[in-house]
Amino acid sequence: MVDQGTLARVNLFAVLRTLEGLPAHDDEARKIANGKREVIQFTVGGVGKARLAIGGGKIAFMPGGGGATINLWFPDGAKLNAMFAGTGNPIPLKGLTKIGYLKGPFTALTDRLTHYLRAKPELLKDAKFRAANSELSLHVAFYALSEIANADPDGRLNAGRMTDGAILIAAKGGPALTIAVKDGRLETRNGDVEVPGKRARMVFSSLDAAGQLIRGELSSYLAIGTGDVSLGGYTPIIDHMNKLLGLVPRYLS
Amino acid sequence: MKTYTYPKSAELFARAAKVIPGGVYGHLGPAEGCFMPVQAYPLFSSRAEGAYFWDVDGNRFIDYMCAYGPNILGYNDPDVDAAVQAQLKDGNCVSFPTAKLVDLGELMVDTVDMADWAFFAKNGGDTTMFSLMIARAATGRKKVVLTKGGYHGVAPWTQKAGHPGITPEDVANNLYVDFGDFEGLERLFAEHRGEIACFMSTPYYHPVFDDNRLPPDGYWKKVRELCTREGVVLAIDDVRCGFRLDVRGSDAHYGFEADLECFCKALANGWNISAVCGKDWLREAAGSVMYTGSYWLSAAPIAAAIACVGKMRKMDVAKVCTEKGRKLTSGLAEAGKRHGFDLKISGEPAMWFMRITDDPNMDHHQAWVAECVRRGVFFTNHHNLFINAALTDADIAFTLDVADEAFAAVKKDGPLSARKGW
Repeated sequence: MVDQGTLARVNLFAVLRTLEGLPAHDDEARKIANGKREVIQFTVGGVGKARLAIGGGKIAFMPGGGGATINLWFPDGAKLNAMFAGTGNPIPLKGLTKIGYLKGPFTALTDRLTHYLRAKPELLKDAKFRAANSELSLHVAFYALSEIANADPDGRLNAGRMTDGAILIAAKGGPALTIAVKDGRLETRNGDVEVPGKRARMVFSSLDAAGQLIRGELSSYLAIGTGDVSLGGYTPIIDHMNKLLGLVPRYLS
Repeated sequence: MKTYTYPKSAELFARAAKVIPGGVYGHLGPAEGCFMPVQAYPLFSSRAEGAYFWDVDGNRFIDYMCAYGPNILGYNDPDVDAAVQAQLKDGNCVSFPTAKLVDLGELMVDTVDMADWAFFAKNGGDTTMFSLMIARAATGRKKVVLTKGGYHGVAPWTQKAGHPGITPEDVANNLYVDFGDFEGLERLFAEHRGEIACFMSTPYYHPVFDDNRLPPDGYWKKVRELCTREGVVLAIDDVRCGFRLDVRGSDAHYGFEADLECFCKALANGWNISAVCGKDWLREAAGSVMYTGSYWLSAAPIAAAIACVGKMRKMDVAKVCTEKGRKLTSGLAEAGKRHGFDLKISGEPAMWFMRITDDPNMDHHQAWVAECVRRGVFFTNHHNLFINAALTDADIAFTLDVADEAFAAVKKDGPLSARKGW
């Protein structure tokens, strides 16, 4: 069952964050990032705040509130989810004159992200597009995993069984993420980060293998047998993480 | 020493991947089996004999997993297999059981100290589920106390809430206590007085990943008294330990008497049969529970169990396996010491658990096990291992040579995390 509060956290702290990586792959996103600087704050009742700073050639995601040129308010998570589903709109509290930016460049950005994350099969035949899809998918899936671990009822049960420490998620020759575990709560961090406690690793044989797994083209259990996914280190922590990974498609499909 | 490669295993796995979920699923597969790195392990066997199996690439292994327990006399034991062949000539799965069903019932009652009756099924999980149903039928209560980290099969109630396919309702009647924590158990019984049908536990603590622990002094005697006082059925899951610690049952080994005792694995040396033995006061309840399966009374596995139990009794298989286990594990620990590794051995010698200490991320241990496997000694990383009676002194000597060389390789090349391609 999809929990609306968890879905809102996934949308706010995982999907929105993935916009950060978009300019590296997409000309249109790069163009928007090189345009006028805007800072959009998302305030979601019962969920939290986050800001996106767009401009100066990049997109930066910042969890929490602060200075912003546009402030969007959602009374609850369901309203944020409706916006992500294309069935609802936010209430602008600040930057009413910038509706044009939201409807124009910002919507274009989110459309480009959808273009990469919900890729049409024919587009995946192109190696460059496929690599972009894989990298962005890896990013969104493992950031979503921590949100699910901290908020979804099944996720919390599994996260509560995890020992303090970290799991390195890496693709050979590609990006790396670290999932830090502390007192049954998870936090995804970019890169191979040192975290106190036990340490395990899940290494994909290539970025493409990671993409295949997240797109559901490759079964994770099968991938272990073929060596496309190598597990090692403090194994009990991975066992629980695999259960969490199984919950991710509920929220991202 | 030559190290193995597995091209045919990989080829077969690629075929399996197309038609079987996960390629090879469950504990025999690379994921649940913790094959790390998978390149060090075979994935399919082609034949087995005594203490060995050969993989599809023709590599020979001394098998210290013993099919995760069933192999106790040695693969293809001639006496057990002859009994099966003879039975097959007379029939196997028929509309009626054969006289051998009664023969095996009598043999179990005669062999297992606590048994007043015996009931037969196929897998270990059949017996734990049946035991819980008997306890509920007998007491009219619904809750079961399990030990944290205990394994009683794969039925939904034995798994954890939040795991795939498991609902909170599946485990709503479960209560948990640490193994060996008598005060905790007493407290739980008091908090749920009149609600608990059954306390189910393995005779000692043998989880995956953790050091195995024997019961504390006096623990089982106190638990027995508590269960009797509170009207709770004491069910011992002897599926993994049964016959390896004591042919009379592991409760007898630790000096107490269970109300129900579950057997499987070693019961028929790999032929598919399991059993629940019980006390008289639960006979009616056992008879009242509707519980059966298509193959449960097939005669060939029953013939295998009769031959296997008879042979285990005759040779005192638990003593044989325990002695071999002691010899092997002390040698393994010494081999580790020679290379600066502390290999900690825990649990019972016939089914010991081992891990390299001062290795918080298990990286050295995984590397050492992988180096052993590549040289023909099949260990797994984080599950207890098993001894079988066919293991010879020469096999133990070979294993210790492999262990020594594997420790040297780990010393030289480092843990898994430091290796390229692993």
